[in-house]
Amino acid sequence: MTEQYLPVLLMILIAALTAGLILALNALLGPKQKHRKDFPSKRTPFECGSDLLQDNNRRVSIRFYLIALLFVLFDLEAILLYPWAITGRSLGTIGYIEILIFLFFLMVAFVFAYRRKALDWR
Amino acid sequence: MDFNVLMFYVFGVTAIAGGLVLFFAKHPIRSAMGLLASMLALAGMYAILQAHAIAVFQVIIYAGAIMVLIIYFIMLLDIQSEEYLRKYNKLLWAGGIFLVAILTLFIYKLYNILSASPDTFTTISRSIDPATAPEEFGGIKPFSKGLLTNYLFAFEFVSTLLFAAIVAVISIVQLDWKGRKNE
Amino acid sequence: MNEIFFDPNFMMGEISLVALIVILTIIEAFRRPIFVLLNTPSNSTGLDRRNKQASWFAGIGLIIVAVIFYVFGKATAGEHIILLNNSLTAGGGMYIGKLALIGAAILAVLMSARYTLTQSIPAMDYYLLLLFSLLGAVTLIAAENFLIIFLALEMMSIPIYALVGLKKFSTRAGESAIKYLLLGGFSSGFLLLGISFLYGTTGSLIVKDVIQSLNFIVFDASAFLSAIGLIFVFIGLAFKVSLVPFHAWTPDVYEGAGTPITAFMSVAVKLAAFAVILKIFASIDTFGEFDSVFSLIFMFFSLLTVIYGNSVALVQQNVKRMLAYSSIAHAGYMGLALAPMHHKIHTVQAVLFYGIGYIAMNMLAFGVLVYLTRKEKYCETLNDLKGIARKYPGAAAMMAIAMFSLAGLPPAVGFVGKVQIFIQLLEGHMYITAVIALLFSLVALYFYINVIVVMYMREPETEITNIDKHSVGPVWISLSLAALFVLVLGILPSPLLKWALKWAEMLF
Repeated sequence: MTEQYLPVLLMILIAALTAGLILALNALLGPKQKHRKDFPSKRTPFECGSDLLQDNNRRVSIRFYLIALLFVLFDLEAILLYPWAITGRSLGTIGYIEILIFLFFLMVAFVFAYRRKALDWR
Repeated sequence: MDFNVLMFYVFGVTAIAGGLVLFFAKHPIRSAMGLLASMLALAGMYAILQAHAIAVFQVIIYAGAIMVLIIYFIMLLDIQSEEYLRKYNKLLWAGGIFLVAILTLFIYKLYNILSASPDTFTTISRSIDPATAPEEFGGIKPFSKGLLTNYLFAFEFVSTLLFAAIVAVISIVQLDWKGRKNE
Repeated sequence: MNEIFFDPNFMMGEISLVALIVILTIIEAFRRPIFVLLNTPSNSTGLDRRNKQASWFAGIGLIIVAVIFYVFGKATAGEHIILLNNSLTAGGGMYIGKLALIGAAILAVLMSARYTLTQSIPAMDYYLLLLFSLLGAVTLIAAENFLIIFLALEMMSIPIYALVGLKKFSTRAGESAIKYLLLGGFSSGFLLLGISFLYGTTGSLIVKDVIQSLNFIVFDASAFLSAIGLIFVFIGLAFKVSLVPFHAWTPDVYEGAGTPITAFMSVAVKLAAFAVILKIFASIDTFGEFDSVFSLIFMFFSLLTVIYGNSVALVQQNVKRMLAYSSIAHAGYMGLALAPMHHKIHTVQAVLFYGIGYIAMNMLAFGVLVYLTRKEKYCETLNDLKGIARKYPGAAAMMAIAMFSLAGLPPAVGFVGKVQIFIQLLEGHMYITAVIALLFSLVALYFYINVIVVMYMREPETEITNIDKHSVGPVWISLSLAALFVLVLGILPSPLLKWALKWAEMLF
């Protein structure tokens, strides 16, 4: 069964090669850094982009976090639909009822989130 | 050496290396990348152990959703001051001692067991050998079938659990409140 | 005992509870959103009115659910079956445990009616989370397999994490919520790791099968791993009941959380987690080699818990913190009964009896604190309680009953519970342990009686301000119900002993 992963392995190898190539070229051609302090952007989270105009260590709206958490929860829900998508046909009506119950709870949760304007951006 | 076994070790070493990067990197995003490497390597190990469904879920949930969450929060929080982090570095030795103690116990115990009966792990690992695994074992189809028949209650219970989590998240954010009180 | 895949009669209670949750969610979702403005009288925003409605909905709904649990539980009490492919135990005396947990939730809702009003907390969210947690607890005590145990434990804990931090703009609540969340996640990790070790060595998730195969295991690699697995499961659950090395969160979280939440958390979560501990550890057979090991583990940790909880409670000035340490100590007493591993069914009966009695007495103690809350001022420290008996004799009397019961003095249920525990210890020939535990329950007398002394014999430092008149009725109902249970079951414990035995039979 593991042979079916050969394309994945190939892709991992290609990705590793590409990433390694880019890093190597950067090291060869880019400006040499002696100290990390020389490059202010090195201390930003993503180590790239233009330098910050102001210290961004300030509060952000809690809605950002809310969106991120809801994303994870609904993503989990979507993943739990995979099993039914694969075996739904063979399970027939009972499988259909099962997934309807499953979706019902998440629908209620979604309505709750929607009506509470958790998905709005004001 | 069998190719599967070789890859298993490669992924194992990658997972440990990722874990070490996660632990020792000063930069939060590098830690996150270490974690990502560790998670992907684990997915590879699951795939070799014939747990295909788990491997897929590992990639989608952990390397997908959870990593997005973590990187997103790093972006929002953006802790730059090293003094802040140094405070926690002092606690490193406590965790280190605990880790060494646990590792010593495990290695000592494993050494004892292996010296008593050297074929312990051969018998255990025979069950994960692809050749002896039953047809379709761990594949996404039997997994799905099991989830929707034998483990039906767990499946439905997870939906209420997610429901609870969504309500909890929304209620703790309390979007209805305006204004701020000084406390 | 036979297996049925699904029979709605056995699950009607849970189904009705889920239905109640869904109905309340939809009601909340389709009401016009309101904005709560701080620093304004809360009446002007309509929050009070909505909170009152929410309390009515939740209270009446929960009572209906309790009736359904009782009716269907009684009707199916003749059979002991396992539902949904080894997921849940149902029938038999299981409804007693579920009713005890629902009782705790009803008392908590009655108190919350007042608490949400005085503290301006959006009540519907609050009740929804409470009901979710209750759903987790009633599933947890019926869980037959480790998968369900883990899911139900999370179901029980996740809403509590949110409930603890629900009071907005309160740094204390936020701090305790974060502490509880992080440590709770950590302990869940332990539980999961333990479960995966057990699954790896025994090849089963079903508690009975796992324990069965442990009884016949020889000491080799897999025995070592299963021992580690069991210890990790124990750690994960010991965190929930706050046995001593895993107790550090308890005082901070109990202090920071809203008082009704603290009350619910200290009784329902503890009882449900103890039911699982009993289910897993009490059925380890006496001839297996694990038996003596876990006997020792329970003795050590529980004794440590009793000693620590009672001695630290001595110096607390804050009543909520004092009750938190006392709750640690009570977890210790419950754990002690497991140490002898003798006459298993009676051990389980003693612990469950103690747990149910503890619901009534702890709810009573926290209920008095809720009753004495003002809008701007919590009633938490001993100073706040000084001389309270003159102005509020009823509340002081209730508190006195609770303290007598918690201390384990005769006319209350706490006394019978402690006697049961000590009988278990003596029958298991653990005399030294029993003596130490008894000594420390004498130590405990001091700080429990101190509360009564402060209430009745000290002069208040400042004039006692009037308490808010918001919904004192429901609080009085909950106080009198709890006091009734404490006294009646203390004087006539035999029905509760019978119930506990019925429930205990279901755990094997």
